[in-house]
Amino acid sequence: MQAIRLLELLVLLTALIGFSGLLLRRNLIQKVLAMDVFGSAVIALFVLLAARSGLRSPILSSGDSPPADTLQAMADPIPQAVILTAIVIGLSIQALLLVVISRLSAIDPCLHSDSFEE
Amino acid sequence: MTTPILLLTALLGPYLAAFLVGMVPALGRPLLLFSSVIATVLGVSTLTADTSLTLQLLGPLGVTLSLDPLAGWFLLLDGLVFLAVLLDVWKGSIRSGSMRLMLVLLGGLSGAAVVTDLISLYVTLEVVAIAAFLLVLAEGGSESNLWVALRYLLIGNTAMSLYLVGTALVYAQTESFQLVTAASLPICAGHLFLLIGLFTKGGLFLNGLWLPTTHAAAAAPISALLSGSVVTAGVIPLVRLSLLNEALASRIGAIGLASALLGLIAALLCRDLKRLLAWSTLSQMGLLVLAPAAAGLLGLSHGLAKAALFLSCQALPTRNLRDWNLSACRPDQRLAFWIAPLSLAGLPPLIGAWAKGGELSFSGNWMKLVIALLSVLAIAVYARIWQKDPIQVQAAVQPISVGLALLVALLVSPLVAPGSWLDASLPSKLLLSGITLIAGLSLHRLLRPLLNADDSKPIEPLIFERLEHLIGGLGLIGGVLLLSLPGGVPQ
Repeated sequence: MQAIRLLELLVLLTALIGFSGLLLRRNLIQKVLAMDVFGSAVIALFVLLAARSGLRSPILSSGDSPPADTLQAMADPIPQAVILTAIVIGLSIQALLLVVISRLSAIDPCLHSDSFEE
Repeated sequence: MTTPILLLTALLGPYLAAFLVGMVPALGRPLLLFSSVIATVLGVSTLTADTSLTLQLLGPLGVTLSLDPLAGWFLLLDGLVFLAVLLDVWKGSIRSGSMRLMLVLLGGLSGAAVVTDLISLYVTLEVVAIAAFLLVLAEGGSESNLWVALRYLLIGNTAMSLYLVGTALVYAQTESFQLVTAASLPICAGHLFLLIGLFTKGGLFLNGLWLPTTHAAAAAPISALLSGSVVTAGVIPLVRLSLLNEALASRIGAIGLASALLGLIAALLCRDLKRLLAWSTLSQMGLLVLAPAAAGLLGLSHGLAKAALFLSCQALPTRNLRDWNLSACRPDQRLAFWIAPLSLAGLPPLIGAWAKGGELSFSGNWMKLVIALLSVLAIAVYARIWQKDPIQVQAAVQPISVGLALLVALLVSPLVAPGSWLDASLPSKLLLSGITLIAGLSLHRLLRPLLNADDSKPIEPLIFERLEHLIGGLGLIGGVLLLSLPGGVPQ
C-alpha cells in the first residue's frame, strides 16, 4: 500500500472518531474535544493534500529560479496557507465554546448535555 | 462614488467602524447607520446597473468578489434589515457592545453576499456565526441562552469543518477554490460535503433543526437580524451553485422542498409565537433554494417581512399561541402582524407577490400541486397569528417603533408604484390568492380545536431538536446525499 493511501485512511478514521465522539459523548467538554479531533482531521487532510506534489517546504533559497526537478518535489503551498486561517478560526471558536461551558458549569457541574435541554 | 470604491467601503467599512466603536462607544449608532446605508446604496446601484463586476484579488487562487444582481438583492436586504433594527433600538434597550457586534455581523454578511471563492466564503460564514453567537449571548440575559448559543456555534463549526473537507476534495480535482470551477465538475463527493455545510448554515431541513430554538431564544431585535438576513448568508452560495450546476440544483431543490414542508408542519404544531415564525423561516429558506432564479427577490421580500414580524415580538402580553390575542398588541404591531404574513403569502400587490412565479428547480404538474398545498398550509400557519379574541384588552400605551414602520412601508411600497394597479394579470393573481386564503383559513378552523385541546402540556421543543439530533441530522443528510451519487448505491 502506498504511504499516501495509508495516511488518507488514517485521516478518514480520525474524522470518523471525531464525529462519533460528537454524536455519542454526553459530556460537553468531551463533545468539544471531539469537535477538535474532527477539526484536526480536516487540517491533516489539507496538509496531506499539499504533500501530493512533494514533501519539501515550498521556500526558495535564493533569488534565481531553481531547476525544474527541485520544483517537482516541493509541497503545494496553497492548501497550507489556506488551512492556517481555518486553524485560527477553529481555535477562537474552541475558546468561545469553553468560556460558555465554564459558565454553564454553574448550572450543572457534571456538564451532562441532557441537563441543559428543556 | 464609483462601484469598486463603494464595494470596498461596504466590505471593510463595518470592520473599521467596529474597531473605532471599541474606542469611542458613542459612535456606535451613527457608524452602524452609515454602514447599513452604504450596503443599501451598493445593493440598489448594483440592481439598477444590472451588470456584474468581478474583482480578483491576489491572483487566480486568491479572493474573488463578484457583484452581480443576486449579490445586489442580498446587500439591499442586509442594509434595510440592519437599518430597521437600528432605528428600532435607537432609544436604548440594547448594549453599546452589541453595536460593535452588529457592525462585524454586517461586514460578514456583506462579504458573504459577494465572495465567490470557497475559502473566503468559509471565512465570512464563520465571522457571521461568531458575531451572531455573541449577539445571542449578549442580548439574551437568561441562562438558557448560554446553552442555545453553544448549540448554535458547535453545530455551525462542525458543519463548516465538513464544508472544508468538501473544499479540500474539490481542490484535489481542480487545483482551484473558485465557486465557478467547483460547479463545473461533474457531481462528486466534494460537492456534497460543501452542500452539507451550507445546508446547516442556511437552516434547511434536518440540518436546520438548530434554527427554531435559536431564533426563538434570542432577543427580538437579534431574532429579526438572524431570521431576516443572517440565515440567508448560507443560502446565497447554494443559489449560486444551483444556477451553475443542474445535478446540484436537483439535490438542493429536493432538500429545499423537504424543508418547506417540514417547516410548515412544525409551525402548525408548535405553541410559541416566535417558534412559529422561526419554523416559517426554515420553510421559506427551502422555497428560496427551490427557486434559484428568483431567489434574490424572494430573499428580500421574506427578510423584510420576517424582520417586521420578529421586531413586533417585543413587549407582547403573551407568546403562547393558545392564549394569543391580536387585539392586545400595539397598533403598529397589529398592522405588521397582518401585512407581513400576507406579503409572505404573496398577496398582490404587496412586495411578496413580485417574488412568486419564478422558475423552480423542478417542473411538472405535481410541482404545481405541491406549491398550492404549501401556500394553503402557509395561510393556515399565519392564521394562527391572526387569532382575535372579541374581548377587547387595553394595550399598553407605548411609542410606535420607527424601524417597524419602515419595514411595513417597504412591504406595501409596490402600492405606490405607478404600474402596479394596471398589471393585466392582477385580477387572476388576486383570485388565486383569495382561493388560497379561504382554503388556508378553513384548514385553520379545522385544526384549531385539535391544537388547543390539551392544555396540560407546556411549551416545549419538538422531540427531535436536541443536540444529538442536530448532529445526527447532519450525518443522516450527509449519508443520504453520498448515496445519491452516481454509483453510490451498489447494484
